[in-house]
Amino acid sequence: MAGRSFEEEQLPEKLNFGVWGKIGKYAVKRWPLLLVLFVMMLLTTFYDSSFIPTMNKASLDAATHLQESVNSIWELHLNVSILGIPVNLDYTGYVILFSVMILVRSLAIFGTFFLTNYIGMLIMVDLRRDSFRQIQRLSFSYFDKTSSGWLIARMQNDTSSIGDTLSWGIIQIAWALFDIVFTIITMFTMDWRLALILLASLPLVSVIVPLFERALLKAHRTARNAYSHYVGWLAESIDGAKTIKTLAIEGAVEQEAAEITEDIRYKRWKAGRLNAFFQPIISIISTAMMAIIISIGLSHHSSTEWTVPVATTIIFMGFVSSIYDPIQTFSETFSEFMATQAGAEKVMQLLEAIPAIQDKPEVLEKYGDILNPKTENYETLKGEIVFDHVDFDYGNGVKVIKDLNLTIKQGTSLAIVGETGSGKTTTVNLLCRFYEPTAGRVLIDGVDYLDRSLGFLRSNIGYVQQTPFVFSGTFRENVLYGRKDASEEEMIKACKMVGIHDFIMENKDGYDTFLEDGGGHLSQGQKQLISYARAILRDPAILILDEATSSIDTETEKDLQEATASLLKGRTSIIIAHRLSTIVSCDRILVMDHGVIKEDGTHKSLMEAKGAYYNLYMNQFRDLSVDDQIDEYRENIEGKGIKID
Amino acid sequence: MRFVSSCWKLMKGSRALYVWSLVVQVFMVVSTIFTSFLSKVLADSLTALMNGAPFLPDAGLESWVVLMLTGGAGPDYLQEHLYILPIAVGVSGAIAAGFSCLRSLLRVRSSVAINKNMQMVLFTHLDRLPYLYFKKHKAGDILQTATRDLDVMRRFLIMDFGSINYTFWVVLICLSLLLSLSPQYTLVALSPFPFMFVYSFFLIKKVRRLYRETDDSEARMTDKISENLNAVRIVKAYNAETYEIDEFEKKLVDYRQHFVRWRKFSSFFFASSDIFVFGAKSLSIIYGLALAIEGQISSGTLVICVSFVNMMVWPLRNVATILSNLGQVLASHDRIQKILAEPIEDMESGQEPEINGDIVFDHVSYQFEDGDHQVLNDVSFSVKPGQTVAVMGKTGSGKSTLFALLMRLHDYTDGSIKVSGVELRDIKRSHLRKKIAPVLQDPFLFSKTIYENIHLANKDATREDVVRAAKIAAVDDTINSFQQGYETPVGEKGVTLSGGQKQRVAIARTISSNAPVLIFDDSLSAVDTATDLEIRRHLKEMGRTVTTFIITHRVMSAKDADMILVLDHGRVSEMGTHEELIKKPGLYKTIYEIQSKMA
Repeated sequence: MAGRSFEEEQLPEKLNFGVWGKIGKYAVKRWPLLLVLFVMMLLTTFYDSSFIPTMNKASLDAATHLQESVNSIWELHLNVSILGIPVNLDYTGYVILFSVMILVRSLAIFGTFFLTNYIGMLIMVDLRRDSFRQIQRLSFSYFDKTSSGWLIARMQNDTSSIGDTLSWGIIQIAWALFDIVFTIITMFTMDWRLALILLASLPLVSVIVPLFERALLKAHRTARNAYSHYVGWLAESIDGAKTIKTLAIEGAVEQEAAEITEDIRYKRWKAGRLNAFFQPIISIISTAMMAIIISIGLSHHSSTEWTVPVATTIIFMGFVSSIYDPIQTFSETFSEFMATQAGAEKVMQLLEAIPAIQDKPEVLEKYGDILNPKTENYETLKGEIVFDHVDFDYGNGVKVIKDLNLTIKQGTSLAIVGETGSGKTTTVNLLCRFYEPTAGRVLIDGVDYLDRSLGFLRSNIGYVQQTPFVFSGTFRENVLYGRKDASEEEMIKACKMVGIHDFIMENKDGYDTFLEDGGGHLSQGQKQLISYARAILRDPAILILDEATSSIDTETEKDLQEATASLLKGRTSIIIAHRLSTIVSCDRILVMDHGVIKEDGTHKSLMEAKGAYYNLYMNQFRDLSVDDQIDEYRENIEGKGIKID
Repeated sequence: MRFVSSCWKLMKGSRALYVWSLVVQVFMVVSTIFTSFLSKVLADSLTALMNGAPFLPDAGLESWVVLMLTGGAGPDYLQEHLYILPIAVGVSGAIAAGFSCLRSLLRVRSSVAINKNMQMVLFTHLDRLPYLYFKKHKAGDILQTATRDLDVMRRFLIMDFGSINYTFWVVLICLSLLLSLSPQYTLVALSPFPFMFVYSFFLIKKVRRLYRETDDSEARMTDKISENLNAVRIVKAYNAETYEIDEFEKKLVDYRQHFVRWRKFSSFFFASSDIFVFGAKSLSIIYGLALAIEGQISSGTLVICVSFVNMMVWPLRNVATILSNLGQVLASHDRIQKILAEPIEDMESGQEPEINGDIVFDHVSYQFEDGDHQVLNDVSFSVKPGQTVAVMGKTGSGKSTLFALLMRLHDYTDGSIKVSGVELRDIKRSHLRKKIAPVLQDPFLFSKTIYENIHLANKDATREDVVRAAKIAAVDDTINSFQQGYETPVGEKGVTLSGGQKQRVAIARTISSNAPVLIFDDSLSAVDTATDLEIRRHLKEMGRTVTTFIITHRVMSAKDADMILVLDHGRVSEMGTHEELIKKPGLYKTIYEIQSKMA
């Protein structure tokens, strides 16, 4: 239906150390890489915050204290004090040191840049892998409660923003830390008094910056929400374009567009306005600091007990603007963590979810778990199913299945029909052990299915879904999904049985034709046939056919009829039926209503009884198009000799 | 050139702001450069002071600055009153900060306004494109252009062009000052730059290609995730968990390989082009020192040269990246222009006859532009005001097309349709669509409240009108049964309506439009027979003359119509009242017999 909704995220009040601690383990696991990264960063920050200012100061010193004795550059001696260690260089040494350090820095920045991204990617990949494994382990009930959209958002967006935040966050903090340490050391080795004066302004900046960051984060979040709202609205307007046209409400919709875009404009303006003041305020503080440094430099340029050489004044002017950067970095990083926190919490929630359905320890012992099955211990299954006084509720106290007693003989087909909420889908869910009965037992070949493993049960069940699902892959991969070790002959035989083989061979690459976008160019019927072939290849003792509610077109329905017959042949099959054609041809039909069996019989007997089945059938009949009504009548009422009067 | 003029068009309404933001940016650049130029004055005057020599400013700018600072008194005065310098630095820094603030404000203001303007220009155009456009184009593609491409354009106009402007002035001013101080020095210090430009230009293409490959690989990985989640029943029922994990691992490995290849190269690119940047910076110190020692430049010149080179390197590098990205911007621009070039539907020209339901189809035919197949063939019939017409026919017999023609969603190819005696082609589209309102087969409700959804069709409707329409559509009780009643939101955030409920809300929406001609395109069939009957009875009791068309497959719905049309392959195969049609053999008679037996 309408609208792609978006989640409006609220900002957390404080950092959740529990969650970040757990997420942090993904980073800590990479400690050797992190160690190398720190070394690289150490080199880079050393170059930027210590080496360059020191070298600049040395050359400025030399340029301002013109030594009479020096006539040529080659006679010049420079006194460089690197981190307090005095080094005496001639000009050649100076040039060489510069050149070497450029290479060192480039190498270091290469390492820093690459490793940061690499670690971020590793964290993301690890998180995705773990989430994916977790999703395979979780029981079906989890997916009933959790929309796939939610899960995709966790795995797609949150994992990558966590990876980035974590790796860049660590790097930013380390960077800022190294940077400030190097700057402070360099400042103190040059002139400790000026250094102290400069540092005195830090508290002021440390108060202003986080205040701004917090307000900025909020304002930008609001603006972003407004934009997501717009995108959702726009998508809906494009989807609903035909309705807009036919109602001739273009004007009203444009009015709405104007309001929504104005909302974005205003919120972005509010956020941007804050930004506009942020940098200038910092600039003004640093300018004031610069003026102070210059004044001190001027008054002490030649005093005896505290001499501030010209070069020192000039270099300190540079420190003023660079000393505030680390504080901004800290603050930004903190904001980043805040912004990503909600996502991190949700990902952890997913990773820590416990599967609702698990096998008993002794069953696991014998049959293995889902990811490591012991197939050698699997028995062969014939396919007799018994529901023995089965009750079920979804945990809210409302019984969806009430005292269900049902025996399905081996090799017969059973259709279950009923309104939405009658319990027909739940019955199948119980049979597949997507859920377990709250009371009573389900026996398969006379054994309670809880005494055998999930893997055992499911390796004996074929399941064909409401809307046929085709994986992005080749025809071969899609069919072999039923049984991975099937031979070429078996696969072709299965496809021939459902009548899709010829169609597959018409494609250029035959079975190796790649189906893009989940077989986007295949018709609904062709997709269904592929899923039939998949089920046949699996050759299960029990087959479940879960039909689509939405009627498919008649042509397709006719194509499927024969294929369905060959699929069901010789198996115990349970069909949640919506299509008239499948219901009619089943051995036995159950009508369910509010969790109990209301009617039980064949098409003919139930039609003549004129009860619930008759009504259901008639409702569907009326919704057929006129030509289908004629066909259906001839085939299944007249043709079966049913008398309705 | 076309690019520039269409950008200019998209900026309509905010051009002055935009230009001002660029101009103020120039002021900002000038004041920032001036502030750092003061450090040259500082260094020179201090050096002179320490060496006990008189302060002799360089001819040109430095002398001017000194004169300005001292109010014309000259360098000696400055040396005696050195406190002028910190004050000057403070003031000019504050001015620069002020300009920077003003510029940011202007920039943000124009950015958000341009953004709004672009969104509105594109949306109002989209909104007025004909019905067929939306049948032919994928919603996803349109949305992509309206969001991502527009954003690329905005970023270019605001950020990228701002950076180019900034870089241009910084380079222009710094370069001319540097050249005036020491041409030889300037050339040497900046010599790495041309190489950097060429280097960036070639390598960044490869970076981008590797990035795209990585992105594709990630898309395959996320496709796998969503596929797995959508197929969760299949995966579990087929016991394919381990297989899926292995498959996913392959995608992870593939992504990892692409990622490493991309990041290795991009890190190499950044690190190696850093060599040019740091090369230029180092060269400015090394060579400057040599010149200073040899007395060719003053210490102040050394200071200022180093800081000017510093000021230029990063913006220049940034511009190199922007320029190599221009292709993407142009592609986005083309996609936007392509939509804007689509002709919009003329909604407003034509006559506005009184529409009361007098409709005459006279030998009307229609075929799709690209098809040779006749959807409608020689259809003739006439309808009087207040009549009810039922249309029946097999799938694909042209039932829906009949009404698309009547609403001028498409124009007929042959014959003539007259509404109130006026040729349909001459009637104003907006007028027509206000007066002839359909309920589509597949109803679309917006993510608004139920009230707003019904109200949509007629913005003058009062609350009573809306409730009345809902009552006629037999949906009032259902709506009241929701906790929030009419204020219940529809869609993901609100209730999920069943097909029949959706259909009835859509019927209420159409009824509230007060149109004298209503079309039910198979839409009554989605509700059960009793409701169908109830709605039709309500329509009769509405108390105003309404001409109704009902497309249906139920004899019961068609039976009471004043005229029943049966279509077969685009032709009228039967026409008449119920009584007339059941007397002669045909589709209608057959279906009537079956349905009455089955009732």
